[in-house]
Amino acid sequence: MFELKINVNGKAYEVDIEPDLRLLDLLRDKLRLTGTKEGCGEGECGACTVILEGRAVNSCLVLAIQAHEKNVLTIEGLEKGDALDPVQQAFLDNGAVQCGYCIPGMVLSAKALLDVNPVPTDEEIKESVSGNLCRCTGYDKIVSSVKLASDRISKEGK
Amino acid sequence: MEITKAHKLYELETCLKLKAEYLEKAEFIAGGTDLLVHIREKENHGEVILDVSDIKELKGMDYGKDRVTLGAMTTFSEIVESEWAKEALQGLWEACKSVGSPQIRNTGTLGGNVANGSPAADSAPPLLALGSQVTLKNEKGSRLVDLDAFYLGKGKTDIKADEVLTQISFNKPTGKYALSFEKLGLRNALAISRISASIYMECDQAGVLKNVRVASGSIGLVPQREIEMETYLTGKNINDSWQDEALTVFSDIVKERLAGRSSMPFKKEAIKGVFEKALTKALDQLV
Amino acid sequence: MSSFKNVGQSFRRKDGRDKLTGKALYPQDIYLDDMLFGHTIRSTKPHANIKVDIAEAEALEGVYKVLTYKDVPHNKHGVLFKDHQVFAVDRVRRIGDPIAFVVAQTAKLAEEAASLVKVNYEEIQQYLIQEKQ
Repeated sequence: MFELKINVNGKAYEVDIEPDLRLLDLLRDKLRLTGTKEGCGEGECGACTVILEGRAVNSCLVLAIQAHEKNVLTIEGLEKGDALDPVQQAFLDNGAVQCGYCIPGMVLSAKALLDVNPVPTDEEIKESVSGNLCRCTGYDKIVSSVKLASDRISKEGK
Repeated sequence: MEITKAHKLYELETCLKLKAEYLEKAEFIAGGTDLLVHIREKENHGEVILDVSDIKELKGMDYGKDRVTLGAMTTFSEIVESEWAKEALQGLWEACKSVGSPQIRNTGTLGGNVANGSPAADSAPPLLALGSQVTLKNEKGSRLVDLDAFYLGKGKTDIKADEVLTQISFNKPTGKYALSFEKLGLRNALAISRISASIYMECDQAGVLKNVRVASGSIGLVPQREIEMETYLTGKNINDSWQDEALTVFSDIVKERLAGRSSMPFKKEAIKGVFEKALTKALDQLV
Repeated sequence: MSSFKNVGQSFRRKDGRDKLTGKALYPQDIYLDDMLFGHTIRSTKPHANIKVDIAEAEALEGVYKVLTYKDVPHNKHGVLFKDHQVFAVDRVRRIGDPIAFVVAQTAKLAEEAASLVKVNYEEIQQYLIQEKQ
């Protein structure tokens, strides 16, 4: 067993884990943060995307021990009280959510982009979600939602 | 193989000590993007995991005076975000950019990409074209191995049971040179390379090519240098018209090497398109 | 032209917020105290007579039960023709036909027990599309 220390969404956790526990399973099974989804389990669909130390990663391809003493942001950590993160709000207002299974991963990939590149080009937006598959929407509204979020964040800043 | 123990490591010395104890019983995790797929398919080899992802000695990119040294833990994203790499090592930069997806590039490492010995590894052809060497360390010391001698067979490399691949290094290219890369995948992202090529070339004042290194991926069991293509290209003048012939030469090499394999009819044609693009990119860099 | 109350208007989906905050529950997200975990054993052959031995799987510690056709009161379902079996009885008709279902304390145990279920396949005439190599 490994005594894992990890910070998830600003909260510190100490969990005894098996050595081969994936970060995805730590979040879902141990911490009951089920917002992060398993779509393929092999890094091809991005449904399991979380932000680890500021970077979007596939949590199905990360062992929990690799995140020892590190910071993880999941979809549950985005809202501030009642207020949604601008990315979440934009997806909601723009109608980019259908079945919703890809959404947590999609939103976090977009957030990871906007956190380092607040005014991305359309090309850069598409690149940022190129590791996230969506079976429902056809991606159009997803890309325009990220653009909308970016515009709103810029306006807020002014 | 069931995993029974994992060590979280921060210092190379501890890592070397443990690997010397465990030998084949322990497997490294760097980025994890290959290992976790193996674990899922129950094809991992070690019952012990040594997590090297936070070992400081394995990190860092050094663009030295004469030599470039990349720590084994250098991620694909770190290369992509490096202005210097984008400018000075275009082929390596493109190869790293073509890997998987942003998520995979954020965790996947050059060390892992090389050490896994896959013939389809994207970083291998440009690293071979750069004449790279890998540093392999164990408790007793360290050795430098030419990358083109490092690959022994499909999935097999020269790394010994008590060794860690710590760095990849190559002479810093200077003067008028080009480094290009082209890969054929089944889609634009999350695509394993079906065939790839990388070219390093220099030319003199008159436009004559010299110091040519060509490397391929997914043509055969290992990423490899293409000596026949290097011989062909050396001495050619960039202002002359031989480019079409070059494609036929390479196609014939592929036809012979993969004779009898079901992928040969496809690859002997595909290499023409891939090499044409790699060649055009390289020649453009020389202008 | 009168403007409509709903047609032509933009609405936020009712479940949009929950899906965007990770609160929406999908089947895999449901956890219950003392819940058990299952794993289906499926045919690996397209058409075969089968004999199944679940003894070793059921004996594994932590396995609650291994279900087969014997545990299904009404094993035949369907829309027009009621010929779709919940679990194959003595014959499998496609790769993937369910044969048995392990119920165990953990997902890992369920998977381990599934590998202990012994299925003997006697392959019979198959209709496959074959291409000349």
